[in-house]
Amino acid sequence: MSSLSVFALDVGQGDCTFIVPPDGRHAVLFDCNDAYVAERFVADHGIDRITIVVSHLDNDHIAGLRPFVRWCLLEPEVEVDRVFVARDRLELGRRSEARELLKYLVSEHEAGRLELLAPHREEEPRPILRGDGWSIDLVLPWYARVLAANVCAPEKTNSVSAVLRVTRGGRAVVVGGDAPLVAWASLESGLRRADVVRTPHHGGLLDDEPSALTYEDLYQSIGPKLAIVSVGTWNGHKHPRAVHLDAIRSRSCRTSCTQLTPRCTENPERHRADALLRVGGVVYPYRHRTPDGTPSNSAHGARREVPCAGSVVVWLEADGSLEVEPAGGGWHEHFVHTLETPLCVDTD
Amino acid sequence: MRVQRAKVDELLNTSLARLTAGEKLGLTSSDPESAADLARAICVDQKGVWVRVPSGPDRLVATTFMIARGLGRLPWTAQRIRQGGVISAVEDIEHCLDGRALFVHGVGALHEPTLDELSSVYENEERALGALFRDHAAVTTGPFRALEGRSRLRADPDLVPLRLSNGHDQDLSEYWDTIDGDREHLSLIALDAILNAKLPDPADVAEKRTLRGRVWACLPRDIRLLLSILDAHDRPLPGRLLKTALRALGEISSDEARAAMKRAREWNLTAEEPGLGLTSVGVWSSLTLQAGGVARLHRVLGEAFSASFDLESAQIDGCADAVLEAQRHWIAAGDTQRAVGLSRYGAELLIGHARRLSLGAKRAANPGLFGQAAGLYSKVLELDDTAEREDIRLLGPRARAYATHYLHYNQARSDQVPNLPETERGFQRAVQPRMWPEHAVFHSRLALVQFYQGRRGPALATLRRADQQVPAHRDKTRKLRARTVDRLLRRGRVLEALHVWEDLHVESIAQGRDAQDALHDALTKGWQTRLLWVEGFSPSSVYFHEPVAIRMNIGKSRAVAILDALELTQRSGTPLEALTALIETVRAETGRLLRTLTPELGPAERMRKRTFLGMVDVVRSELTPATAMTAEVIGRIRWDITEAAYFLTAADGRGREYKVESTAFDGPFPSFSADELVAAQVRRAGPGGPVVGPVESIDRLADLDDEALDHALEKLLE
Repeated sequence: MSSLSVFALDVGQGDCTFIVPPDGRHAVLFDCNDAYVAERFVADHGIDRITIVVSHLDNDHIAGLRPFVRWCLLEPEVEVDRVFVARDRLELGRRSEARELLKYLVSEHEAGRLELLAPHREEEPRPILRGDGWSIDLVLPWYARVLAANVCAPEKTNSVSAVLRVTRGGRAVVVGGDAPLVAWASLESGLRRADVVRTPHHGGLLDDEPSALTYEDLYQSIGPKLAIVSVGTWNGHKHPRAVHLDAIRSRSCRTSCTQLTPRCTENPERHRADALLRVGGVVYPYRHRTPDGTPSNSAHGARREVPCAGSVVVWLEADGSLEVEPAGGGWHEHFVHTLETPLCVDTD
Repeated sequence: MRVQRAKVDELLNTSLARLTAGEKLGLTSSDPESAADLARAICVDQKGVWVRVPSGPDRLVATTFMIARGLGRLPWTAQRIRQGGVISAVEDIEHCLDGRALFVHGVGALHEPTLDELSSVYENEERALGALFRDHAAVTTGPFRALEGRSRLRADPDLVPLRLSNGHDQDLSEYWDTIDGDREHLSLIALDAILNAKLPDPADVAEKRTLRGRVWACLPRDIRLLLSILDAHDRPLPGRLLKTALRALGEISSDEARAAMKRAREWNLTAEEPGLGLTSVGVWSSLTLQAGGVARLHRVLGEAFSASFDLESAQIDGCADAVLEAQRHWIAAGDTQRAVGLSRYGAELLIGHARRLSLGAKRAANPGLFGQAAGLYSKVLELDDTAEREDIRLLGPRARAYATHYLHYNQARSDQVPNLPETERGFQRAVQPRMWPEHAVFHSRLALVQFYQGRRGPALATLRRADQQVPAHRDKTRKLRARTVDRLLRRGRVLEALHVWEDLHVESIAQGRDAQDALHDALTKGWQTRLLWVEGFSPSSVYFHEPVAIRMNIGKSRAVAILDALELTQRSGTPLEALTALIETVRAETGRLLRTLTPELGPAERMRKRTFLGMVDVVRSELTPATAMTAEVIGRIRWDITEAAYFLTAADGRGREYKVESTAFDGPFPSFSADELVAAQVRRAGPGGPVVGPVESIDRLADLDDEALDHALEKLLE
């Protein structure tokens, strides 16, 4: 293994990104919406040490985290060394999932089974993991903003969302949690620039706080060749928003959404079998291929998610080369062109 | 009217001389009635016991009763049948013959070929009666292999007497040559002449069919009814019962009935079976048994027989043959309920009727009849259970096995969604050691129903066991191996068929050659499957998400298994070996691609990974590295009043729910509030498999108070 890889796993509406350095054994996990998908990734690929970064405490970023950490601690072959987690959700409901997660992590921390750290930076980006010619750094949030949020606006959790930057051979990938435009505006322009961006907030709105930075400004300053949108088929937020996709398209940047949404086709489920035949090029699509239990009575419970690109992997080599799967010009582009109204393609 | 009686007495004398010299005679003739006439004449002369082997599932019991009645031992024989079955009764009869000879008419009916599978139910009883005839029958008519060795005597029709009475003698021998010595034809000419008072020109005699129709049209109504009754009964019918039935059917007086019987005898339309009763002569059944009236004929006969005994009487065994006949007629009349009540001397007739219903259902594709057949088999087994408690033997082991097997067979055929586990249990019972473990088809069906449930290992084990238990016979391989293969191929289960073909010992390669050809055709043509497996090879299977096409090229010494969708081929000595190699390759390659991070693969291999992981179900194929059997799920407990059970709703937003096992709670009632989050250990589908439930245990989340939590987190920020 010589590549530095960023795996944006298909976990529906939420995030779960593994960054696997060239040694292939010690990985960084950024958020975890699906414990089973994360567990299978680790077990299938023989990863034995994990550092976890929690971008923020919204449920779609942490829903699978506690079961995953617990699984890691019970598996003899797997170790969780550090967990970076913020306290942004603390005031939202005394019995919330976030509070319970934090209680669990603090318990394990106090029992000495893992080290708990706060995910923020000060003067310089905070290294999460570094090696020969490569680095995985936390570039957002700033410490001051975390303090301010805790004191002034604990309900605005996205404002303190973490952002990772992965670099090697002069190439970069930025993995945005749900950081809003105002947070991105505070990031040094040199650290914004990247070849690949995992689009913040699943392609949802980023402007709930006033900011001088626009969506166009954001993507212009990043200058990506590929935008990865981690989105769920039946999300109720109309993700991904056209405002993102328009800005991305205007930069001649390719987009890969992990899942297909009704915004691109009238009937996503019609494409499910076709998509599932092809998405195994990165990882086995456990989320789609395993029983889901009994659907709830919710409006979307009985519907099945549909992959679009599925899980996406970007890898950086020491010589500065960068590759992606699914690759441009391949099956995924063809698949997108079979849809009626794909947001990532200029259909006019 | 008379025919010349040339040499009749001479033939009778010759026969008697031979018998006196110790010969045993097998009488044959192109005209069965001629042989019967001669046999009857000898029997009367020798004071023998006359037996006419009837057709039908009850033929063995009925024949035994006929002999017993001839010997005057009916009550004792009937009791022996109730206690020990036909074989026991035959042993008793043999002791009581005391030198009297048996005269067996229609001996060939003992091996009634149309009964097929059912006849082997009573194979041992049939053998016992055959041995009795072989040792004690002085004269037989009809072909019967077991009785070969006796002197054959041809009873030529032109030597047989014929007399039709209308009060005038007239020689009809001039017609004899014209009709090639056909006695029935001559009889029709004579009857036509009597009824129409006109003899035809010997050079211009009408055909039998024409004559039969003309005579039938001219016969008096009471004679027609009489012939209809005899044909419906199809066995010798005692005169008093014929009269009773005739009176009831024709609503005529006793004198009129007696006169009709006398006239029928004079016109040679009936013949007397010594000691048994009357039968019709000639082929009238196409006219007598026309649709519509048959059920009524049987009802009348059922009533006539039923009126001749009292089921509650202590002397009922003296009327055992009448009870049997009444039962037969009630079944034919469609009154199964009355027939069931008469199952005193066995359940052969009920089983035979159930079989007819089942065959009718198959022919007419009518599932309702399968249900009726199943109901009757069920009733038979119920009767047998009751009889067993009273130490009475209603069914022998084979008959019980037969009824058990076909109860479940017909039940499964009648159901839209058959209960296969229940069918399997029934089929299993039928081949238990004390039932009928030698029955090849029963084993074949048991294996099939196991295959249909995906129970491949037990199915093959069933066939291997059957190979040991079914004795060698000429059809063994065909019924056990070729039949199973054929049925599997009909359902497109090519892989199962291949296993059966290669797994079973072959006694004769020639048996089931057709099945082998069909199997090879199916393998070569290919089949679609979502599961590739080889029994006994571990790990033995690959599951696919969608059906894939498998095909084979089969040569004399090599076979190639081909999976085009994954561009894989494997070559080996036999189809099964090639398939095994193919499965090994698919598993190894899928596992390798699953474990390798995509960036480590070249462009072609990435495409290969996409194809393999798109098609192969790695979870069901157990290709994922094993991890724990349970996983933690965070969620809330809810009570479902409809299912009266607790469920865990996962808090991951996917709406997944898992049933909570009652043992998951510490006490009898859970103490979790509806909005409280809990950590549950939930069962996976397998080691490292997906989380499928149920919930095995429930824990409260970390017991850290809010103040301590805030304090700990604040420390992180410092």
